This record gives sequence, structure tokens and C-alpha cells, in this order.
Amino acid sequence: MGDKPVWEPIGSSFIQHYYQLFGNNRTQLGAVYIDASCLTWEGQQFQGKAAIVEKLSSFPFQKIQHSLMAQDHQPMPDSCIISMVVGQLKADEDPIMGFHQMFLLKNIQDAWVCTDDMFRLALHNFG
Amino acid sequence: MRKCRSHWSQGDRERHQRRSYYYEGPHTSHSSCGGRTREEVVTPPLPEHAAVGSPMAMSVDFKTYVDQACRAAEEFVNIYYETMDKRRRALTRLYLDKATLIWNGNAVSGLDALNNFFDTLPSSEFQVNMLDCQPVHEQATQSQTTVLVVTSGTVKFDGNKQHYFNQNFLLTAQSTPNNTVWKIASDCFRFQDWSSS
Repeated sequence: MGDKPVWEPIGSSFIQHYYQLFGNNRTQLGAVYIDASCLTWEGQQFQGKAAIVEKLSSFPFQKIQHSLMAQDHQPMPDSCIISMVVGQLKADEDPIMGFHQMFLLKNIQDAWVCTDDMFRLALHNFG
Repeated sequence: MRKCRSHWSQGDRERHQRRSYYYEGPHTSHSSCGGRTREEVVTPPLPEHAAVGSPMAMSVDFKTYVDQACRAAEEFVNIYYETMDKRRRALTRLYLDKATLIWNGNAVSGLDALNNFFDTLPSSEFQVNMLDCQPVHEQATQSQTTVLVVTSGTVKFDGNKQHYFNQNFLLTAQSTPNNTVWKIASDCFRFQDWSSS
């Protein structure tokens, strides 16, 4: 079929960068969002970089580790990229939980930013 | 578990219990639309949402827009899984001609390939437990109205054990003056067999 699709390394670099930032210094995550970004975190919507950073900075845990099990990247119209990640995370000494997250990436002035982000824990014992 | 959940979620997990209404009985959204063919997902036209204008006006219009787009997305998902389970041969009508699917890491592109793929996939029983949708801000995709949808739940394919799954869809809206036709532009499906117990 030819060369590896160009969106895959872009998507996977972004993913790697994102979870590294999240684990090391999540207050810096603002850099990956723009004012038009929208996050749906466990069903709650946050609009704009400031609101998103506030939410991500608000978690009470000290330490967070992510283990990525699989990621998929697809091109979108207008040269955007959609990336889906499934994995596990561990906050402080809490039990390991599964999660999935989806990012919509756009290139703005040579940097790839996230315009849409949707996160869900994989919890199977509701209520 | 309750303690660490609260770190993450002031959210709406209880609200989502209601969303599994799809498989609970006849009071699903599409059953009231009698004669409509269920091979296309057609909704009333979406409102035009204000471009960047006064912050107040934009947020009211945008909220209405979001609500309507998400309602359409929920209806779409409802029909999608029912079609997948009960009318598999009609499923590709819900995809754009050039739609792409990644199924557990395998890329399937274009309607012919999608037809073959869904033909060979064993019969399924899906149970959707969770759905999130988010309209894509027009700055990201100027060309079309686009909604991102994420679903999760369980699925049993004939001859296989039950799996947890995650799926995400990019839905695009093709608007006419009288209605909006929704189709899948891209689709990504994964089993999630390593999630929390």
C-alpha cells in the first residue's frame, strides 16, 4: 500500500506527549488546548482552554500513571486527526482502572493541538 | 471503589443508566416515527448556530445546537446497533461512501470493503451502556456539521465470548431545508478486555 500513513506518527506523538504531561505536570496541559477546545470528562462538558485546565488541575491525586493498551488514528476532513486510546490508569494507591479517551487534533501554526477531547473510565459496576 | 471514583467523576454515571433505554422496551426514540425507513438516520434540520458574535448570544445558540446535535447522535447510535444486530445487511447505508473503519486495529475503507467486512462478521448482540457526544466546533472542521460520539458496553458475537467494547464515531450531517441526514465518516471499534472489574 505504500508508506505508513502520515497521521499515525502525528497521533502517537501527541498521545505520548499528552500522557507524559498528564503524569508529570498536568497544569501544563493547557498548551495542548486552544480557546475553542471542548472536553467531555466523564460526561461533564468543559469549554475553552481555561475551563479545561481548571478541571484537569482539580483532581486530588498526587501521582497518576497511564498504561496505554491500544491506540488508533484516522484522518479527518480539513487535515484533522482523530485518535482513540484505550488503557489503564492508577491514581496514587487506588486500584487500577480502565479508561478510554478520544482526541481530535488540528494543526494550528505548525503545532498539533487538541480541539475536542472525550474521556471515560471503564467502570462496569455502575451504581 | 466509591472513594477513588469521586476523584474523577462528579459526573453523570447515574444519568447514563437511563440511556440504556435502547434495549429496554418500545419507548425508544425511533419507534414513534412510524413509516420512516430505518436505513437512514434523518432528523429535523439543525438550527444554524451563531458564528462568533456576542458571547451571550453565541452561548445560547450554541447550547441549543449542542442539544439538538447530541439528540440526533443518540438516535443515530440507537439505530446503528439495532441495525447491526437485526438488519446487518442494511448497516453500510449508515456510512458515507468513503467512510473508514478501524476494527480492533484493522483498517477497512470504502463501502465495498465495509460490505464484505460486515457480511463476514458473525451475528451480534450489542448492549450499549454509555454514550457521550460532542459536536465538533466549527473551527476544527469548517466544511460540515460533525458530531463525535463515543459508546461503550458489551457485545456478544455468535461463537465468541462476550466482550466489553469501546467505539467512536464521527458523524457528519448532510442538511437539506427539510431535514438532516446523518452518516458515519469514520468509525473505530475496540474490545476492552483489560478494564476495571
